[in-house]
Amino acid sequence: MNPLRASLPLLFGMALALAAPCFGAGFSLPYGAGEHQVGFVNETTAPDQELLNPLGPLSFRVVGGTCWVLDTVNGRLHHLAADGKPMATIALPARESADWQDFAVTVADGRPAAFYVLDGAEQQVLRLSATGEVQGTFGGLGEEPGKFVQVFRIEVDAAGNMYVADRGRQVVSVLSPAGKVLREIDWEWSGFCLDPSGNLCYLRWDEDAGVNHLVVETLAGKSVRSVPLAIGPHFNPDLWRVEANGETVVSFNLPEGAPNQMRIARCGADGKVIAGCPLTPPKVMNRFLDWDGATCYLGVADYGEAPKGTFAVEPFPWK
Amino acid sequence: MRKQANRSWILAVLVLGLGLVGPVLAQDGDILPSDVEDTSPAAAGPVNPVTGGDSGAGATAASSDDQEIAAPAGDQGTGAPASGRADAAPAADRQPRHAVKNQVSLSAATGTVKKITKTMIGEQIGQVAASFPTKYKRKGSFPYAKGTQNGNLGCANVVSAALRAAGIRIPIILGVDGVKSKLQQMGWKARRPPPFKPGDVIVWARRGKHKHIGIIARKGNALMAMNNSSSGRRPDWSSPTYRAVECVMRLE
Repeated sequence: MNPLRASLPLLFGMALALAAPCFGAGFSLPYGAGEHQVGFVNETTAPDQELLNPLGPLSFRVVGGTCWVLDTVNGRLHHLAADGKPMATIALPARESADWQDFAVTVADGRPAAFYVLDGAEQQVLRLSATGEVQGTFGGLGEEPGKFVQVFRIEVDAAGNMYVADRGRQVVSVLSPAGKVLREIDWEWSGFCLDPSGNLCYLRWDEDAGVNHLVVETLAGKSVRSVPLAIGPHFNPDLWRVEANGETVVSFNLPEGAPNQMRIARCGADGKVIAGCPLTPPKVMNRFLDWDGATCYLGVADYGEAPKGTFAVEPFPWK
Repeated sequence: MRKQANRSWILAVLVLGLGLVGPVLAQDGDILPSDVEDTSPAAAGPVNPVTGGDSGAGATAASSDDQEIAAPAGDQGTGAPASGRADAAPAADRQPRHAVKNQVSLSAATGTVKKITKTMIGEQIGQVAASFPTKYKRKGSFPYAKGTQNGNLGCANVVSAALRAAGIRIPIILGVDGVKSKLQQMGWKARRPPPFKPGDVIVWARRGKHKHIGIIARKGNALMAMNNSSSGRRPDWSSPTYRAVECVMRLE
């Protein structure tokens, strides 16, 4: 056998090992109810359930090289170190029925300062201390400003203002740290984010032009800029990230092909696409992408197959 | 004399318009026990795609998205067509007298009659569906029919109620395949998405013991599915691709 050919797998493995730190090594947790496991629901756990939607962790965040995973079924947050080892588990408040949809974490001096967790059962935001004590409860079911019908995603700015996307009322509600309603923005189910300056970024569809515009506004609602995104024919856009240089990351479904065929695109400050690739997120997962610095992470899971496999958060070096 | 004739015509159209809109508004959300159909409907024969009434051959023929539905005959005993379109349509394409609901809108200011396309009906179904998650936001507030396990199996119930509220004359059906076959009888077509369109009735593939069903609504360039939440016991929103899609039923 050609010695060069024989050594190819070894060389490939070495190359992967060398490249891994550049992307981050990723994180994973096995399925289950035990310590350092993430809960799931499928035919295995609910064989008699009439209508079954496989369920597992709905959200994650990668912060400072470490990963937080929202264990929706077990009602807790897992914290994984940069090397993937479990560091801590924070129990979410026990509730008669909870539906943990998404969360945000704020950091001070390199340590988590507070968690903001969305409960889709009570339609509330819970602010928790770094150790999980409830510090505040905001929202609740209702159609008036400050109330929610179907909470979806949350972001928190440096001042502690809470931005909550509500699929039911189709708004992004901006709440002060005390829970006072500061603003509500009509929202088109199309994601939102905060840019590094703390501006609110969302999408606005121009029906006549057939184009989605990135809209950037200050907390007070003053327009910073509006840029048409040249991502071509699409539906269900999801705005994930706007960087300091104006680059924008958006995922979307294609109007042709398989129903769940998605793409992710990076647009320049002028709205033109500068990178893009296919994307296959786990079904049902809410926040399936996150960034730590320039590194993009993707949730990788199949809750229908659990407990086979793991819930993983992997670098997604699509750029 | 001519001016008076015009006034009479406008008045007639106004009366007709009120007669059309009234039943739609009154029907919103009403679910009568006698309307509940627990199994797939077995009635045969072509059914009007909007009203569900027998419409005669040709009324369910496939047409393009924006093809106008044959304008209804007047419902006030005049027998006069509400627009010129019906005059030109072959007899087989005309809607029966009961097929008037939701097919004519009226501008009181101009006295003009606007033809409603199937795309517009789809948008209307989507809009009505979009009102359900807020209208029935409280757990258990939706009037689930008996046989749904208090909403655990309420998806077909919610969808057929939304279709009825949008003016589609369909009974309350408690099975996904029952809704699907009823719509097929009414001339709706099964299509494999994408694209998804507002008003599409989306059927998700079997998972566990049951399929699932919802209605597509649009906001901006996003398309979400209003569907029953078994755990929430209320209608809510899901991505249409949150589970495997079997097909969509579309009025076309």
